[in-house]
Amino acid sequence: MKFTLLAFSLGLMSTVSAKTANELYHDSAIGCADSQCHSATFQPQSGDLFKSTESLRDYIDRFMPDGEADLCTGTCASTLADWLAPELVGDSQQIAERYYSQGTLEDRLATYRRASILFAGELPRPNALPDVSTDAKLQGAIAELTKAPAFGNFIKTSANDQLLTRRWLQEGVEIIEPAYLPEFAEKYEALEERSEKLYEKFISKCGEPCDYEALEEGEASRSLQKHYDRYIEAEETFSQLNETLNYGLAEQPLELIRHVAVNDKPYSEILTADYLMMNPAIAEMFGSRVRFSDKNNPDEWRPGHIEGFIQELDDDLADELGFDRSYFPDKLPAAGVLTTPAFLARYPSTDTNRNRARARWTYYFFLGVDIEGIANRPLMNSDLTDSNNPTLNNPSCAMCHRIMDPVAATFQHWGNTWTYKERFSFDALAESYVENDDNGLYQEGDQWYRDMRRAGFNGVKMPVDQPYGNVKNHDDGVQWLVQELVQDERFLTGTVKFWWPTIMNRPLLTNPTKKLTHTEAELNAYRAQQFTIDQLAQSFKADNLNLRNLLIAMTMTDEFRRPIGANTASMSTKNRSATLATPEQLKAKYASLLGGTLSPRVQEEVDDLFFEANISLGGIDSANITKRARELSPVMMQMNESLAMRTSCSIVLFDLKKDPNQRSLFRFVDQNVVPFDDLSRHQIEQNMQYLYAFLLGEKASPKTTADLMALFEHAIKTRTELKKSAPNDWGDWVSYDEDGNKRWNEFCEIPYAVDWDNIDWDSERDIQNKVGPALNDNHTVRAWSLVIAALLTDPLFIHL
Amino acid sequence: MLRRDFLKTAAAASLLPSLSTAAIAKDARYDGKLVFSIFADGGWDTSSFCDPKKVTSINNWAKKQDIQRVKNSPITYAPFADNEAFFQKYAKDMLVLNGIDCQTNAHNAGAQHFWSGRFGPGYPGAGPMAAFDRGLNLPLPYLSFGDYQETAGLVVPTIVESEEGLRQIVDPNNAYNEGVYFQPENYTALQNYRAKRLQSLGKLASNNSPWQQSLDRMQRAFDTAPQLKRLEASLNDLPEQEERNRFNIQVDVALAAAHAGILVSADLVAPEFDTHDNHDATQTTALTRLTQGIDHFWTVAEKFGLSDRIILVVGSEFSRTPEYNDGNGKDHWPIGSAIFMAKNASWTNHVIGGTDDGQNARFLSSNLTTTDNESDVILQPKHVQALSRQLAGLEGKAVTRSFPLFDDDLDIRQVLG
Repeated sequence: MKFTLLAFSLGLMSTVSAKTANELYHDSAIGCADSQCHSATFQPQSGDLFKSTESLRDYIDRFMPDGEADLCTGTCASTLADWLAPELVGDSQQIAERYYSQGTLEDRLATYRRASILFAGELPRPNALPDVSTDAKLQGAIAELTKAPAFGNFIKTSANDQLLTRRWLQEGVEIIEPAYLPEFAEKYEALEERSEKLYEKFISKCGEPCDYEALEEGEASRSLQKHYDRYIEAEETFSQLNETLNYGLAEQPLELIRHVAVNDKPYSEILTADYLMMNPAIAEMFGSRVRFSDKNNPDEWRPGHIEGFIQELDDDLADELGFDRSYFPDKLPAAGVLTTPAFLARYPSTDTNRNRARARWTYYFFLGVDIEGIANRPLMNSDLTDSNNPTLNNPSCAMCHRIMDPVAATFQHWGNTWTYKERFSFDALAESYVENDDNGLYQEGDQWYRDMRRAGFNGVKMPVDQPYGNVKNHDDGVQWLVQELVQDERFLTGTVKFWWPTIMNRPLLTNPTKKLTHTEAELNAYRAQQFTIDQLAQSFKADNLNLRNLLIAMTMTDEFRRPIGANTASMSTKNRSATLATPEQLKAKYASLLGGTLSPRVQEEVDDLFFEANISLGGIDSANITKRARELSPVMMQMNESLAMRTSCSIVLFDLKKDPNQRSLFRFVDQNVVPFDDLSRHQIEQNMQYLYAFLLGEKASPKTTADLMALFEHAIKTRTELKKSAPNDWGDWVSYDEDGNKRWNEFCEIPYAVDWDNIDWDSERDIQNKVGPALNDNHTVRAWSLVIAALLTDPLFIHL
Repeated sequence: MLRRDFLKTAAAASLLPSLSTAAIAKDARYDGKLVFSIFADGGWDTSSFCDPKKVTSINNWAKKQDIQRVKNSPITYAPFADNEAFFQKYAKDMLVLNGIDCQTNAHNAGAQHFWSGRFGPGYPGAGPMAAFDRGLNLPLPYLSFGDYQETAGLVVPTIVESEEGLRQIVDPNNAYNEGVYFQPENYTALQNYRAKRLQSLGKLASNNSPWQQSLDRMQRAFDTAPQLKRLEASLNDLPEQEERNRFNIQVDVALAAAHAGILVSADLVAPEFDTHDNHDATQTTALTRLTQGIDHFWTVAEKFGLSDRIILVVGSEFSRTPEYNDGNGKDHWPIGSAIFMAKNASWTNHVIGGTDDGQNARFLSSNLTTTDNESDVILQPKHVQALSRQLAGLEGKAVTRSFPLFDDDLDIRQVLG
């Protein structure tokens, strides 16, 4: 606790003695009332213990206090380290080993299976499992999984969990403020204008209130209908354009991360890339001269630049001021994710926020430093209501702002949404600041606010051509910033933390000492986790910042493979990963049951099904719901059941319709195998065991097999009885009566096309051929559907 | 998503009535106190709302208009947004707390402090505690729409986006126009299989392991799921509205769940109060959405016959500065307000606390009189939460002892008489 209080006090002094440090600690503690004392502190961002006093000294020397590390170096750092050592120096490794020894390492195949769902987006088939008899083989097998195309999707979805740029995929969301190639702007505005004009024309003909029902039903006059149809067509064209652009913009930063990961580039390139990823639609919008093999493919991505953008300084004004177009850059400077329009717009600024939100999130996403966590303590009212530029002058406010504001200043060229140098292309300063004659702060050529800290990072000032002026040796301040960020040791741990929640399917532990009370077990769990993070960070560094290898290494850790609760004293081999599968992972499991590459129609069906179920299954929409639900609620359980009910029969039919050697699910039976003799029963049981292993990843016990068999037989018996009571001419499928009182059967969507009009109803063979397994007099399809439904709602299936 | 027309040409279907499913907690129906909160997310401007300031540097409206007062009430309000309709209609149902020192200008810290009564992690609000205290036999005891969601593990929050999301899950075996997916005999067999399966997995899991806890949650979900069917009728009974904003959808979903007797508490979120620029226009939009949303809340509650069971707390992480910035916005200010609402309560139509003309908090004496005596107490979120807990029926309950508020410097509960 001492350390943290001192850390923020350090800004006030240039040298610190042990006595001063002690006094400061107690002074600060007195300032907080009883219950609040814990919260009045903040921990060093690395919650780990330090191996030695020297490493603690080194940490203080280089990083503390946050944001102005140069305030306590050398002797100051040594003095503090000596004083803090009894509390913060210890053997993390020993704590971690002791902690992890409580749990039982899961079977390697179980690890492989979970990694397969994560990285390859599929359930491994029991008959196609790799040799994972050693850890090295397991690691190699997991590495193979990362070569699947689905690995790229995993990267993007995981990155979005943090960056949330898919907010722009939400229906009806506005487009990111359009500032793009003038030629494209004309096209965009013309489409918008056309849509508006046609609407006005249509509504003037239709009058208010307009009878839309008649129009939808085609019952309006021909003339009015024509106006309506033209308006709708124009509106849809414009909406489609917006959707296309939003898709490109939302995916752009995620695509860069995917590009870096799958091409095994150093991960630092997600920040240092001097290019942006472009797909055809946004390349056109941005005037990017990138060549594509298919201009209509929104998923073809290539590196490019924003080469055409609206100059705020128009030609007339430029002439008046004596500038020509060459004064402005041909292309906008880029600095990886941080200068993508979607990132900038997702974390927008205002004239008073002045990029602080962007700085806060930059620290959080890429260094793992939560600046708001530092602010999580009560401040004196006099500090909070201080009106004398408190972020600069008031020590209480400065504690956070000295970390945040210099980084905010490096974003100086980027406007409140994302536009570049939006004040006449000179700078992105607020008009109200520039034109404020009262304070007279602004000076020609300034790029930043003189009542704020100068641009910099961690105590290092950004080199500029004049005070508050342009960055030197770079095109943009963010380009300077990212070079500093990726050199910072915290970029390594920050990267591990960034990817942790999606690999582990749970958030990082919070420091338990921040709670009112905590147990030793909680503290040990936290310290063991911090140790693991540090270990991973070091291997990441040694591996030239290869993200793919880092993610593989994370799946090999005790954290991934050893389920332990903070309060758990002992483990048995029956403990499993208790992390819920995300909607994306469940979708991958379902898709695996269908097997192989799905037709666009079936893929769309699966996509739609899970899009609709997303929030109820614990997913996010990147806008209103931004944190995944990690605990099973009854609503989630019901949604799982709903999915199983709706799909189980279609899944069975889909598989049985395939050639036997292509089937994913029915390898030992087909729809004609009924449990009326020993051989058939054996085949059915064999298939059940196969399904159990495939869907749930374990070997079915004899009892479980018997229970599933009972379920299967129950369904056949029930259906046989029910059918007996139905009129003879109902049959199975052909009994369907559009008018009414269908009674005995159960609804099942046939997942393949049947040419009902061309069936020769006099030919049993033709009926069987064309209707396929849906014609199922012996009821095995629905019996298998019940078994599949049971497995799809099994605890092992809905957990990862 | 629309379910695609995989097969229009043929399907076997039946139009059976809904299934009757045997389940342990099928008939449990909650009819006790309901605890709701509304978080004005981003920092509302109390000087343009329930703590009005007729100071022209603080509020543009002050140049032309006066502070408004509700007849026969100590409650005043700003002539701003749709305040008049709101305060005139509901002053009799509200207790206003002004001059609450949230002790921070940071959003997350403020939200955590305001809604838990403590800086630092780990403290739930009154909603999750009430759900834990009396809702564990319900399928949807605590509904959360985001932002401050700390439950301290007491209860699993349910997160839903819309009533459509709930409609999908009330009766999973119902294929509606197409009949059922499995006939009752088969569906019951499936449920029996699952019950046995959960039992056998549970027996093998180590005590208190995460796996066992997860199985327990499944068991509870399984046991309480049949109650969800009641939700459908409540959703169908919601008043028809042409267009609903997201906030009103939250209101509808929460109250439908309460009406179905499956919910104890819900934390709602009214968005977009962080008005750093163009304050008057954007704060007007946010406040109007909030007050009209609260009106909608009580209208629906009345229709469902829930009004007398409800305690509603409205608050924000802090307030906004007593001046405009250069962009005509207002920045963060730590002194804010809270409004407690209930129908036919003895403690409403009342104001406690206040601020001076600079929007600084005034002190409260031990009998809750506003003073300028610095040895008296300034209201803080811990007092708001103490009152919330009391009104939520949590006083003396074991669950609150794990989360002490250290609020004995001021007995705020005396306002309840």
